[in-house]
Amino acid sequence: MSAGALPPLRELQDLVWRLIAAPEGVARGAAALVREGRLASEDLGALVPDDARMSAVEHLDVYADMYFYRLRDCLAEDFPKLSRRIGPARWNDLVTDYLLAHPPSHFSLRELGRALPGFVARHPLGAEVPLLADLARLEWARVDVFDEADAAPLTREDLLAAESCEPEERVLGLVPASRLLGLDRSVLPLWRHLEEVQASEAVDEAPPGLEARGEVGVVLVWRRGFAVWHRSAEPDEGHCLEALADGTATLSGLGELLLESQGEGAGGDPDRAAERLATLLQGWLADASIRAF
Amino acid sequence: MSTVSERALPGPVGSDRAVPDLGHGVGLRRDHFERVLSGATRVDWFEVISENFMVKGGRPLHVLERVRRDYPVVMHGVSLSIGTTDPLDADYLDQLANLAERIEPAWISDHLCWTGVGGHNAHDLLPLPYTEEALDHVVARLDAVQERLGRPIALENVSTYLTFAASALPEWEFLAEVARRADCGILLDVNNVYVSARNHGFDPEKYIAAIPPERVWQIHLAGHVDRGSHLLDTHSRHVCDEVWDLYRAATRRVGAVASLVEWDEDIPSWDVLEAESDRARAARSAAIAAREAMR
Repeated sequence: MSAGALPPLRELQDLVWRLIAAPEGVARGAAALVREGRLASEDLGALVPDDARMSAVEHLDVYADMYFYRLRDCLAEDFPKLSRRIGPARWNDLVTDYLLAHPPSHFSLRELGRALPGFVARHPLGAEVPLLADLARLEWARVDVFDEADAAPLTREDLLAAESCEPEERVLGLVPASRLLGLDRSVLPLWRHLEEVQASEAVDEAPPGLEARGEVGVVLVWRRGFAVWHRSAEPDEGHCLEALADGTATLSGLGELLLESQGEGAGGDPDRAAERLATLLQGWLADASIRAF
Repeated sequence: MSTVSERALPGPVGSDRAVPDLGHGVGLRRDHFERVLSGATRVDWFEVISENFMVKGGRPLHVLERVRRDYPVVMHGVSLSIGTTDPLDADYLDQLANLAERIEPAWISDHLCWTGVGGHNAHDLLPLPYTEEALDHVVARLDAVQERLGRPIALENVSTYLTFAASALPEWEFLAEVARRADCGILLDVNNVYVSARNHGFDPEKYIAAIPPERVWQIHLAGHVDRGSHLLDTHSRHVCDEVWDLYRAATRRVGAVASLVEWDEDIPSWDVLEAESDRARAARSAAIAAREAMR
């Protein structure tokens, strides 16, 4: 914008966006725009007039503050345990870095945090405490299933009432409001600990040992009714859940998977596999986590 | 599902307003879901933030559908970004249209503002320069939006914390001209009028007097905070006396139109919110009586 000229709407909006989204405030954002040749001067009065109470920079700073704090607080709502665990100062820094790398583009604030778990994994914070990235993944999965599509879960009655094919051959899958994650299992006691202290002030330090790395395993996150749940799965159940997530599983196929999971090859015990499948099926029906196609 | 016409009061006699008077409503917020579903309330209708329900399933949609069985609902959006120079977001409009088909709202509204540019979304209601260029731009986009939705919509005046040197019109003339040219409604937020008037030093009653009454479909009431150098529209407290005065003045001018109390931060108990809505009902009744007495 040359001195004295009034910018057309597009240029004005580009300038205002750059100024209010500048991570170090409007004044430094203006200086950057001058260096880029986008502004003739750091004096923003030609764009936004000063008045008796506020300068142009102060007027724009109202919007810059609202931009950052609204998005920061929205992310804290979606990642309550991560934000509490790292405390307000580091949360501010993380959100600042995140918004620079991933400025919001979706029309809904609901999508704002979608890239945060991956970002934490690559951030110095994630390198310092690797479990934090998995904590973020777990929290986002819980957000994601909260308003995912509804679907009637499979019931025992459905299974027995199947007319078109044998129950063993019905194609089964996870309900849409579910996510299957490969997570460090240590994240689950950390999540539980943070849940218990949620009413207290920010937790800067987890109890000793709580953030030690553990085994990676399958964690199922799902919604039953309107309540969101998560739990870890034993390795053999994990294989079954992965098949269910593909939407191509049948009970007979799951039985074969369990037989293979016994680690005994063709010499596995079919009765033990069938018994294990019955136990798992009872759990899935109780969880309301699977459906039939 | 009842239709609006089955529940709503008729519009004022002789009015050519395109929508009915719904009476007094409040914003449907998560904090009050249980209370609203648990029994009768004294409010006549609910307004929902459209984007919060543009989801695939889960509790929010379930609650909205339950509420809609018993009350008229207005869909109030925050992301249409009618003033941005980015292309219209077809996916957004599709989802908005789908929700409208599902909910059958009394009407759809959004804000006279832009929310981002270059593919970014600030999730804030950013002010426009009040220029002929912006006027043409907004009206053209409104035509396309209303065509896509198959219905006129209402636009709300926003609280502003800056003015642009480029502006050639006062805000009230810009708003009235947008509504006239695009043949859309106006959601007149009297708190926003008051906040902007204090921030920029204009007379709020002059603003109200310039708004074409037949275009006003709805009035918003809300609270704000005083930050010293400026007022900030926070929807976090009771409506202040000056805004009640402005509401009465607006009602005397535009007649009985749907009124709504917004409360989005530091959300109070249902009883407090409902009492604020009762206060709006009493204020409107008094203003309508005064209007009739003046005739």
